[in-house]
Amino acid sequence: MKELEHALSQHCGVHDWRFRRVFRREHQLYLTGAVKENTREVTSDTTRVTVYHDHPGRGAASFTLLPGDRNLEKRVNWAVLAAGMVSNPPHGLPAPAPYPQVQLVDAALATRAAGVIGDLADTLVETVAAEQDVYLASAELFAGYEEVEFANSRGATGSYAATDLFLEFVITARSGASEAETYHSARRRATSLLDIREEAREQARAARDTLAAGLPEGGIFPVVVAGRELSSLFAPFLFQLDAQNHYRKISRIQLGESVFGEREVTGDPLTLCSDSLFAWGNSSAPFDREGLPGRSLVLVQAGRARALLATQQYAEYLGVTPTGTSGCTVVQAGPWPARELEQQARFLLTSFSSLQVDPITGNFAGEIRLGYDLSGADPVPVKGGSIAGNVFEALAGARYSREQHFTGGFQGPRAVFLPATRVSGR
Amino acid sequence: MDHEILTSRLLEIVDDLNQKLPYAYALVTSDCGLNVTFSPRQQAVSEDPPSRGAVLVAYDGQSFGEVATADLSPGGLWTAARRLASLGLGPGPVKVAHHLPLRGSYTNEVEIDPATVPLEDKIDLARQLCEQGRALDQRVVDCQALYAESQRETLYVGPGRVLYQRLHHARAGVTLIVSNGRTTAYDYEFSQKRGGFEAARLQDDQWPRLAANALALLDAEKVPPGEYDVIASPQVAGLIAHEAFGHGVELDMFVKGRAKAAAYLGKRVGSELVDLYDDPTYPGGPGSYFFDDEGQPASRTTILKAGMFLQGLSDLYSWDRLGGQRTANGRRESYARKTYARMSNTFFGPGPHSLEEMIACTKHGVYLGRFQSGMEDPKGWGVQCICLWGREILDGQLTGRYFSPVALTGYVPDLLSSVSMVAGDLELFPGGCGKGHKETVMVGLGGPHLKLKARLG
Repeated sequence: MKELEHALSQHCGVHDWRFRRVFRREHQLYLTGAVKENTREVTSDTTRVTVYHDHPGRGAASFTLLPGDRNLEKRVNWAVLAAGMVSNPPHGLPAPAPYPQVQLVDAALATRAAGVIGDLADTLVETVAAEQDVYLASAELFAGYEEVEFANSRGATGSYAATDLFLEFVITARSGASEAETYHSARRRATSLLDIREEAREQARAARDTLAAGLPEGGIFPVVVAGRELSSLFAPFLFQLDAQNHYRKISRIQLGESVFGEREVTGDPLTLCSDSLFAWGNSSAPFDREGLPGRSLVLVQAGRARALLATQQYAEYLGVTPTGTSGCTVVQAGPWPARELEQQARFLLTSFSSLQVDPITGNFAGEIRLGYDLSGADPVPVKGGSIAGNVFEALAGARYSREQHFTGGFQGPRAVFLPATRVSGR
Repeated sequence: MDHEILTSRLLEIVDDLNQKLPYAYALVTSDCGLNVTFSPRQQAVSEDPPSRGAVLVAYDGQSFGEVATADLSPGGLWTAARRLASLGLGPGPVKVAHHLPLRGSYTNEVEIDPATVPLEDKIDLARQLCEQGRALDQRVVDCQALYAESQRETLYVGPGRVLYQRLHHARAGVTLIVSNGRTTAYDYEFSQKRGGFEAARLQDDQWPRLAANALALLDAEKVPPGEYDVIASPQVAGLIAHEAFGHGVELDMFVKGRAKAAAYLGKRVGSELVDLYDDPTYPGGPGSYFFDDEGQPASRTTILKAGMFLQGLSDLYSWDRLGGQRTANGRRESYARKTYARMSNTFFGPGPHSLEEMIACTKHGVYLGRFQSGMEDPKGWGVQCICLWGREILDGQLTGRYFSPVALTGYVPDLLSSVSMVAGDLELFPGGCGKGHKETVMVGLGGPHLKLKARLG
């Protein structure tokens, strides 16, 4: 890195620079059924370099160094040339600042990753085998350890280490000749945050329910959305509260105003934070990609936009505080017991093929993988069909459960009640 | 990468590994690219974060061991080889060890190699696209123009086989964001041809279409949920081909018991009008290659013929487990990820009808124009296709009524059996394909216009 810093500092066309080096090692284990299909070990080492050139606007260009790369001077010359061909208004880089401490390293994952994922795989196989009428179709377990190093031309420097664990598995339920499966994935920074036994049992139950599920009735209904994909409903707020998108004039949310525009808010007030210091958060870090210190930031308070997520560049353009890129999404829970919300809903939707949420328009749509029709005395499993709507309309009337869950990148209510949702079905 | 130097290094290592292990090979992947983006208030140029590394693979007939490293020096590769030999694989035997010897070096032909074009010309191209888009209408609030080029080099060194390929492409695209003060909407167009720098252009007819669609979406409605006569554009037909049937016939899913299609081999699953192919040799196809990541030479697979399911897509593992014909579909995201059975260019074959005929005979239906995303469900044989927009068809004509977004869902055999008309206008589009929710590889997907019945919401 000394050679890189020297090359950047000495080049007359480089007016500012920053780099971020990530060294990573990962162990991967794949199961087909309960049998090991593949064991992998991977190491990588990348250094992303951004060069700024003033002329008189400011241009920037980025390149990446990999192990064994030679011709550093040639790469820097290319970046200076490229930066000279694009022009944005002048802006600075983050100054040196004390970086906070964040809990990101699980000692077991850092030191004996292969053993940890092997143990987790054994637990998964054992737990599924103990469940009735199901079998494990496949599983993938990854354990990673990485070291991040950062520096910029203003003298800001920092480093940290982090671990991560990724798990996905598929459980199939069988009844006679009929089969149905559930897919589950989770990403965490520490093994203690993952109760693999409970997750496997829950998925086994879901697989058995999927086997019995039919098409939901179509129409417009109150629904409760719960589960892993609930967090994606909040993605448009993060996009619209990003300073870059304000600067591009593609955000419709104004600071100080309701994030729902002129719509009447009939639901619980929305309070949403971005927290880079959230312990064990998948997006938590002492500093962001540009070297701004991590922080906890209230973006939306009681339904009103309070702050923008702003990198140094866009903070300077808009005259707002630089906050860095987004961290863990934290949504304030509501006052309602989840059961009470379910009692007022026609459907409880727990799993989607993939809930697609458009950050620009706020439109969402997704095929229902598993849900429950709550209109009778007992919940009846449903699958197929889809839901569609717009988050700015839907969440204006939303009610949030008081029970919370943490999914690695999201902390918030476990269930959200949406009063009028379009359901496509029979 | 200097593939000749690497070849000599890896030949020695692979030979050594094959003396100690039942079957071993090496694969080097090197990805790089360039992105230039221009919008009225923002300009950027950067290399795509490149990836370069080697994976040494051993197989004992039951399971694989792999060690992947970014260190391509002799020391780095030998260290990886020693680590692989110590992973404790079994003695075999492995039937693949006896495949035919082959040597070759290949590159896809383009008119203008992007590497020979000055950076300034690429930046100018993006700037012009941005200005052209911005001038389309006063309601344009942002127009993001993109010039992108990518190159993947792959070196396979296995017993008796040394194969190298370089695949490079360039493309251009424009996303137009419009607002009427109350609503924001957008649509996009990408270059329709595949190739080198010469292909990175928008055709003249794409500009008015882009503006018309984006502006119409300002007043788009939600489609009333229900079952409709649907006309799928070549783009949406491609999404259906990919999500509805392509993923479901990736044979590693058969090994895992995750595909309902396993029970339908040799049986009818669609109407007689439906032919479906996977073809990595498709000229200029976004997912084309000369050999797959397990050293299997590319060839075309007929998946469905006249609605009958004939053949799935295999990687080494699934072929070894299931037997049958080995197809060239073992693909990796990069050296850092494992191989799975993956699609290449997957598309419906052309038919005898025309779009005009399809619209004319539709009393009430929806024309689905632009795909946004899709998700497979091979076990349930369900499908999710999210379209950015659809247009109403009433009494044999397109009306001005737009729906956005539109989710198409259904049971795959029902969907394919309902295909009643197939046009002759086959087109292929690029797409990023995941296996589940990760493992992205570039694929081609497409087809001609199709008329079918589907549930929309």
